[in-house]
Amino acid sequence: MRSCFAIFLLSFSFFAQALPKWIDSTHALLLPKEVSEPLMATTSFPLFWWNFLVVQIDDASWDQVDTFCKTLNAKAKTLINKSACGEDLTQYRDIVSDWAADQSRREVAPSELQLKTALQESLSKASLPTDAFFLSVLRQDPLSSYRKLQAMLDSRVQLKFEKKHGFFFDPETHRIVLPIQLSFPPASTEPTKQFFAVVDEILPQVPGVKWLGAIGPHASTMTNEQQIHKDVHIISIAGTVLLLLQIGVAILIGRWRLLLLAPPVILSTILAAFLTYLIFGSVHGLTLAFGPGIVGLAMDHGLHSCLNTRWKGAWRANWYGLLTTVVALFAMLFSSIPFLRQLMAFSIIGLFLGFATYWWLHRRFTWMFEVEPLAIEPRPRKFHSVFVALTFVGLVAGLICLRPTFGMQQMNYQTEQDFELTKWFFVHLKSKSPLLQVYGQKDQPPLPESLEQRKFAHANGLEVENVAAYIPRVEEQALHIKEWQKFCSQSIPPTEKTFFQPFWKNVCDDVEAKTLLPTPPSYLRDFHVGDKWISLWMIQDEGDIAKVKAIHPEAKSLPEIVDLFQTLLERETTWMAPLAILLATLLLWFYYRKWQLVLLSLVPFFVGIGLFFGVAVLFHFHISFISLIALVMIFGLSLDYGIFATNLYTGQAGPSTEGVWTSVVLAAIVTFLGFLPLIFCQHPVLVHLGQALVFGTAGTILGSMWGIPCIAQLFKKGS
Amino acid sequence: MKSWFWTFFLGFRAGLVAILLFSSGVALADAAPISEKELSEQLKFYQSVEELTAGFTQTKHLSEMNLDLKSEGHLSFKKPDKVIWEVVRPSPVTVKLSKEDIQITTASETHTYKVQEISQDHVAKGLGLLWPWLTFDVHALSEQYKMSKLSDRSFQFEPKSAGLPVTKIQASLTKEGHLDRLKLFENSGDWMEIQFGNPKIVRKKM
Repeated sequence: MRSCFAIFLLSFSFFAQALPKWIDSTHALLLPKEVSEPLMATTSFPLFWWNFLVVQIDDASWDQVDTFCKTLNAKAKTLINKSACGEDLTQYRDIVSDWAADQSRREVAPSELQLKTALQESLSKASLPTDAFFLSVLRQDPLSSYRKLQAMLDSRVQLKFEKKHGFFFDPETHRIVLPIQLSFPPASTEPTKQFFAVVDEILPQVPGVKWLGAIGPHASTMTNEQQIHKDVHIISIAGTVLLLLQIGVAILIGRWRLLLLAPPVILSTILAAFLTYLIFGSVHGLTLAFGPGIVGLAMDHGLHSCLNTRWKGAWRANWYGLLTTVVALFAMLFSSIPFLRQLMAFSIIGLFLGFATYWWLHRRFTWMFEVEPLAIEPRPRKFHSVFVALTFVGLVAGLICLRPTFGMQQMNYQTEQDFELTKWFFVHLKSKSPLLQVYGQKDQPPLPESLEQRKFAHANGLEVENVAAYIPRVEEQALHIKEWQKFCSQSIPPTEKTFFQPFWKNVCDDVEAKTLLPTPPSYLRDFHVGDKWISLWMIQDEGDIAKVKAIHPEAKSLPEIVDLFQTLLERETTWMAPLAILLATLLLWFYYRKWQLVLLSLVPFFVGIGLFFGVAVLFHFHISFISLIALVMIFGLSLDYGIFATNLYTGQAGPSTEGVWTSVVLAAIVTFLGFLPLIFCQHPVLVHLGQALVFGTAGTILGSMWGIPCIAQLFKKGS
Repeated sequence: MKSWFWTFFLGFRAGLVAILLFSSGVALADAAPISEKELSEQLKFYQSVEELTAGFTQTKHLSEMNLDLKSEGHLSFKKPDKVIWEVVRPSPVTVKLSKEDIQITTASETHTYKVQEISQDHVAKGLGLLWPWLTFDVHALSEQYKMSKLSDRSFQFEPKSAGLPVTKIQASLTKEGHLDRLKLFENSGDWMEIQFGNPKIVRKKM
């Protein structure tokens, strides 16, 4: 039941687009502050809003790909910032216009003869048949400075494809890459859907153009979200069916009172979300997705108590079950990853609230929660021992063979076709990932710092792409303007005066040097968002990286930022996991004061992990960040079952054998069935969660029912 | 991206050059449809032409600014497919066209483009219209243009395919049957009028 509830919340959080502001859905919480900023650059700076559409054509379809491009630009006009699509540059109207307007700021003035020749040449060109756009360019930019901008933009394109008919073409595969810069950040999936709907609408009109897929942040975000929606839709149906089935079974076997365990845990989750909001200022969508699953562990205590109402020691066992779970969560509370801290805080609060609610309800209304146990009492068998031994082999094999990959890419869903396409595309990239440097403060012009970066790059044989590559410092601009304005006092023939009126306006009107604040010209907007500016250090080798980092340690490449997440998690799990087990073991020792009983209570945990690891080794499962969260849940429930079952072997009077086993079996079956649909999902987040929880829970229950009796028997024989 | 300016007008220009080879006289009278056979008869002056050179003066009227841009130059043609369009004043601009490539030279730069590499839009819809004119393929012309006769030696050509920057072209021939004047009406409302001088012609030896 608790797992169905968790699935419900999981689906709820993935549909968080329409949720209020108190739910955070950004990536910022996934990383420590010092690395979240450069990662955010990928989604906030328009420079990173490029996606690459890949199509395949035959030799005769160049017309059709041109039609596809032009129709796409026209129909998705508001969704597209720029597209390097064929030869048509009319879409760069604003950029060319702003670039021409800043010529007298940017460039040294030409000689009188140079200007005269350029004006005459432009008049000759204008006398040819041209359309209004090209005519306007000639009028604004008679010295053809746009060519320099084109060259700079071309050099920014890091694709190794040949250019044919104005398109990036791979002659080997007959694939064409169409770079499209969208006008909104990748997280906005609604406009992304609208954009791809336009693509789908156009494709039937161009049968010679075969769609292969799209590579880029928007495409990837949308694919992931769509897959999660598909998966969650299926598991929501399965979850609802299972929930109804469990309710039906509980009523059918005359144990409907067990259903009363659901409201307290739901209430505790809601209160935990509220308190988390008060502490952190917002609650992350992922906390809402995974937290309820952990808070749901409180239901184990309620179940245990319902089936052992006459045993006073039941709540002491519950208390230690709670504490052993909380110490694991407590260890992770010191993670440098804000999301983990929030998830652990949420879970601790929820668990304590759930525990307290059950305790109070059970004390106040004992009669209401009294449930007759089922006739369950496992007997040790030989094959049980064999199974347990095999899971220990699995555990050791897993520790040796499994290499957890905690990287964020493990949470990315790709179809096989997308995977092949991405692999092919990355082979055709010219250079290594640039180092990204975000800088700037409110009302602080970016030019001084970006100029310093360029000076450093020049002195060290490096290349940096920033605003200073496009416009000089303010003092230099002022000098240029003064030089250009000497032409304004000269006599200009009437035809030239009229035709080049936009050019003269740009040169002779009240022209002042630009600080690029508050709004930069359109040709620099890719580098700017809010008060921040970005520089890209182009890297050829490790030496370049060392040079840049020596003076700008904050500069990081995207793979480096992504890898940092993995490095941090690996570093933290190496001390957190042993610490959590150690603290839980100490608590168990305080509870039992006998090492044999302590070891016995840990058997479900080791068998659970052993089964999961063994299956993971055999079937090559990936162990990811999500698996880690699932293992925390396994840790919590396995120790609960371990404590409850071990109490039957302490020799103390009180616990009902059938009551304990019924609570353990019911809790485990409900968990197992609840998470079973997850392993049939496609998205790695859900698959990893499902694999760890299903096999971990199966191992835990088998560890409790087969492992504990067998090992208890061994200890008995030994003593 | 580098060729955006030139690729745009090349097809257009090429179409213009072809028209120059056989049309003359600005027509003012009402248009009457002209058949392929009639057109062929009107173009007989060019039937045995091997080489042709003609001077021109050109006026481009920019309606938005109410401004006339005047230029001068000359055109030369050599069978089967060599065409040079040369503006001399106000500043030299030369366009050399062949089946394979197009070269554009100004005082400060030269650009050469392979016909196959130019954007489809301009090649297919612009240069595609050129070749029937260059090869005097009257059949292809009648397929691509809606043709009409304005007077004895004046004709009007309206492109049948959409997307071109011209709405119509009017041409007139001299008494001798060679090109006299040509007027292109652009979508923007601008127009361009070209007055040709007497051509120097080399005919095929019989």
